[in-house]
Amino acid sequence: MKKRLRLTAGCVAMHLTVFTLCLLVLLPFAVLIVKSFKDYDQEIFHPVSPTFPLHTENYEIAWLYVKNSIFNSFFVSGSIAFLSVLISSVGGYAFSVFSFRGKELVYSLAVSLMMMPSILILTSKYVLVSVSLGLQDSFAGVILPQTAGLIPFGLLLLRGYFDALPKGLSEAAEIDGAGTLTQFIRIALPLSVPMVTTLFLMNFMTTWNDYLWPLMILRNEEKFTIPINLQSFTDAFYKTNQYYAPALAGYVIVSVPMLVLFGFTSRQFIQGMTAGAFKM
Amino acid sequence: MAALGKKNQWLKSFVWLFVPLGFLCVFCVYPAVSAVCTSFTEWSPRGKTSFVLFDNYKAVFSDPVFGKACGNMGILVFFGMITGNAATILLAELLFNMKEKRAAKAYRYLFLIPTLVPGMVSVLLWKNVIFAGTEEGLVNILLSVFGVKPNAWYFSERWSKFAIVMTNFPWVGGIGFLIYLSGLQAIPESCIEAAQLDGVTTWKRVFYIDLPFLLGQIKYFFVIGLVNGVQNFDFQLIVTDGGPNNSTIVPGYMLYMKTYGYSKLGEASAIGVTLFVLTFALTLLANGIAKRSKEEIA
Repeated sequence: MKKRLRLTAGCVAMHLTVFTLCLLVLLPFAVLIVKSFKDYDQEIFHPVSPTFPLHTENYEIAWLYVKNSIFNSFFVSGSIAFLSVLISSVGGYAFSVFSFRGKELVYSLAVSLMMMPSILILTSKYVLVSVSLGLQDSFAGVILPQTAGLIPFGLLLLRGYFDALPKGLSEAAEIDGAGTLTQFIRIALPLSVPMVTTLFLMNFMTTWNDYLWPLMILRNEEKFTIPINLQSFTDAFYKTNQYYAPALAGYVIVSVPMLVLFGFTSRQFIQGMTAGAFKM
Repeated sequence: MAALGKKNQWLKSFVWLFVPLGFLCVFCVYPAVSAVCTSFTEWSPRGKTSFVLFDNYKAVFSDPVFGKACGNMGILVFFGMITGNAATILLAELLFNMKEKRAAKAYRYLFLIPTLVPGMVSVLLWKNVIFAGTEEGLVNILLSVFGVKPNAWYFSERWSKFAIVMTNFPWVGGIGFLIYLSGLQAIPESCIEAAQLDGVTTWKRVFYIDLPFLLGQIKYFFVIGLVNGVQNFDFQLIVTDGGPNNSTIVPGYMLYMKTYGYSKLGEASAIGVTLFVLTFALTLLANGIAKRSKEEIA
């Protein structure tokens, strides 16, 4: 009897701790939503507590500022995720099916680039892209190098996957006269849809949050991705109006796409996020 | 496959691998080689590069700001790793021990929300709302209950590092807990049952069974934390500019300024190479320590 009572006390303590942690983690976002509906007076006199009436026009103002950046981010992240998955699946497949001298050496060198700290190459990559290739202030200048950075992990993940596919299928296809390209498109890729989707989502999310590189390359405000735009919009708005609420409404708006995407693909998301640790 | 001639495969592999390896060569290998070369030269955009040997390194190491930056980096990386790992392991343990599986699953999703919101939103939220230096800042409001005067936090020389370390409190919103959780779930059922039969308390089980089993994950986060921590200067870039009075400056931010603002590319590359050597050495060290402690346990 006594033991049971202690157990439940432990349970209650555990639930309370988790609940408190959860509250603390989500609190900033709750405050964000509450504050995003305020006007100037409400923000100054009641900075945290909910106030009425709700100023939904904040969201209309914010939308004008952020809508462009949402499309830009979708374009940039989508292109990077698509290209990196395409290129690493082609490469991964080639490493899986062909044999040539020095293959494993080339493969491990390519994959080991994953461990190279990005700070080492930041300076020379910037010079290469902005000066030598002349891609300053262009989407290509953001997309191409970021794509390259994601290839090593993609190679590792997809080659492993292709290696594990049953050999019988491709042998049968070969007897029927299918070339490597046909086998890749008709057999290997359809069988790897789950892994390819996971990689796509992971790469999409990583680049969705990228700040440093787009900041260095993009100049024109019309090309800004979400993270850069948020900062410049917040500062500009606060300077002229001395309050934050519409900027905070903008934060809420730009958070929506990823939450929706997660809602539809949560399983692949979680799989992708945990995959990284075990491959290393 | 065997039917194909050897030469044929060479050609085919070349065609297939041309684009993937081409990308890597242009955007990863070339910049790395170029960084090492640039660190030994005086580089200017109009051509005219001259070989200066170790002058860039001398300039960097004799700069007192660089010393300060390294110190700041050490402090931020050290506390960042402790807070992040301790908090995420705690959360993973709590969710793992939760009897109500449905609640545990729901919490798993709730704790992921901060990862899904753009990182910039979180940073700006902490800057402009929670640790805001004005009287409307959330922390300042809480402290004013105890009669404490508003603090400038990120913009006060005394508190800026503390504020950066405290940012994202309670440090569990991320994917770390998921990785620890799946590590815990991989512990053989029989181990835990045997412990339960022997009447081992949960606390003892955590220290003698769970943590040793999590060693692989802890090592992973340790290495990642070091490598990312040494390179990270997001907060400096977005919030503090390395100030006030260089109290939050880190080498990575110095590299950025020399690359972008001042065009001292040689010195920037020298910092990059230094940080690379540092992370490489630290990674080897961490691997060595992990190997040793694994042998001790076994």
